[in-house]
Amino acid sequence: MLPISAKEAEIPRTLPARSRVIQGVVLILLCASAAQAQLGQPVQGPAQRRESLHLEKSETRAANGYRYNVMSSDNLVVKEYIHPGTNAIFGVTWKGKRMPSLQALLGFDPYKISGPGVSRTLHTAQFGTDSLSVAIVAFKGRYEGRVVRIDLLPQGVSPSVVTP
Amino acid sequence: MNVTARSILLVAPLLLASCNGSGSGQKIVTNAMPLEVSTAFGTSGTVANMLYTTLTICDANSNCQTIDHIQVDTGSGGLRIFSQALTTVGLTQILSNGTPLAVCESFASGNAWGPVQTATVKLASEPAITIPVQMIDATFGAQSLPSPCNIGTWSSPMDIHANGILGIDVGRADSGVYFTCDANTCMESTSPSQRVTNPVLALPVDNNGVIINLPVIPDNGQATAYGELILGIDTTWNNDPKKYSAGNPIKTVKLDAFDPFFASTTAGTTGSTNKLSFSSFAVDSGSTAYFFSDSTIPFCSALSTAIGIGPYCPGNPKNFAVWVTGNDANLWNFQLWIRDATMLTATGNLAFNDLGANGGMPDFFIAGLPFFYGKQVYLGYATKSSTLGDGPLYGYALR
Repeated sequence: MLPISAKEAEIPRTLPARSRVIQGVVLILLCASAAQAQLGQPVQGPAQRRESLHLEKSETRAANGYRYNVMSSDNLVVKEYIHPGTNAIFGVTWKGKRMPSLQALLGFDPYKISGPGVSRTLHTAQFGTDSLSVAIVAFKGRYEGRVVRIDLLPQGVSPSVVTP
Repeated sequence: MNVTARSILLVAPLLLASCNGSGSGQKIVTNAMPLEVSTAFGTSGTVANMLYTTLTICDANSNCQTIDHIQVDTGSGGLRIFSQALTTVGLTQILSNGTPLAVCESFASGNAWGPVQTATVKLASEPAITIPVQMIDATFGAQSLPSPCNIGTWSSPMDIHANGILGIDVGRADSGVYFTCDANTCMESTSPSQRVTNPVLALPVDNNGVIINLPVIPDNGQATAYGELILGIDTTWNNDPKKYSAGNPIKTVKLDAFDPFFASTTAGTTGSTNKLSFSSFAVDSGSTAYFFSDSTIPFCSALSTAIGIGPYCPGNPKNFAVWVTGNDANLWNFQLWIRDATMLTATGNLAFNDLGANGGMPDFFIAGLPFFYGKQVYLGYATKSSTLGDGPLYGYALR
């Protein structure tokens, strides 16, 4: 939710606070890598990934400077955006009739991110750090999200290509 | 607004009722719930643009408790109350096939987990209704909660700055994920014995929609704001839209019964020919700002600029015109202003009609609580009708 205090609207730029945020994200992502390969990790084969997410269909599409996997079932569509050089996933989106398991989808818990980049309301929430942008929209019957690792974008590719 | 002024506002409908009374009988207001944008839990819990109401809950033994700071949410359906807020009533657990029933309701800010229980609820001075409600309780059931409630689980009222949520959406199908829980495990239930639904639908008469009425507020905000939530549309003497809007035109648009969003939206800076298009527009009292993506509006911080999400700080105020098309091709065309969020929040005010932010979802335009100030917003419920038409629909009239 949008904060009332000016100190949260004005982002503090002191190094210790910023370092704590970065440290927190690194810890979250390290924990994620121990569990499953997701955002920031080398991509799994589409079929393997589709099975782990309990989705029914998958296909890989090529685009200018990157490629992406589209995996879907009747109630959920997931896209994973892949760096062509490193095979790392730099973006994930979802769109469905119910909230997917974000832990399985992203490999980390976005709700554990804290700091000045976090804004929560009931139906739209943002969790941001220096290198990570998480946006969630949740209305009854309509759940969408968009996650981008800014630091892993292929050269010349805009974060705006990551779209549900 | 001071206490005296607030009192006048809250009793104004009753005074009007006296004036409108004909002959021997006074007309009594039974369907007006108080609305307030104010502090929740002291200064540490102070958040702008949170819309609260107050209601009363009773248990099967007629123990009753009045609970304030219930957030009014047009984006969800059902009454959900934190277990910590219920201190003097003990609700009855609902069973499904002999096993306690629980629900996981996902919101963007986290997940509401807890048992489904029977409560007798009093909204305004309406007849009491006995309905399933969700007790938000992260400790209920299995030690390891089922997905998606295994992360982001709300554990206290401070998580959402409210004692609970009154979901009064236009009535689409429930999307909560239900479980039956024994001592060790919770199993998903696709056909629960009961579901948590919008309490207004259970009222005997005033059940075809609601009207949210919030005052005009100044450009730089107001310390607090007070209004009313009228239950029913044209069901009794005080909610005839023509009279209630004092003759101001009511613009309505129809929604799809299965999609919470309007058919199409465009928005542009007033005077500019450049217009932005959004495929998904929602009116949502549960969002504290206008959320939409416009790359021409400066953010408040370098961090937001780097990652493309966060509050807007345009320096000079920016005026936008917004065009929204309903499923019936009816059109809304309204104006809004976005002002510097850092400047606004520094005022210490809580009610703002000009807070804006980029929510990071390019296709979405969410008209949050700023949209509601200075308007009467009408929600016509699905499968119900009123003089405004068949629901689901939205309408608004300027005050």
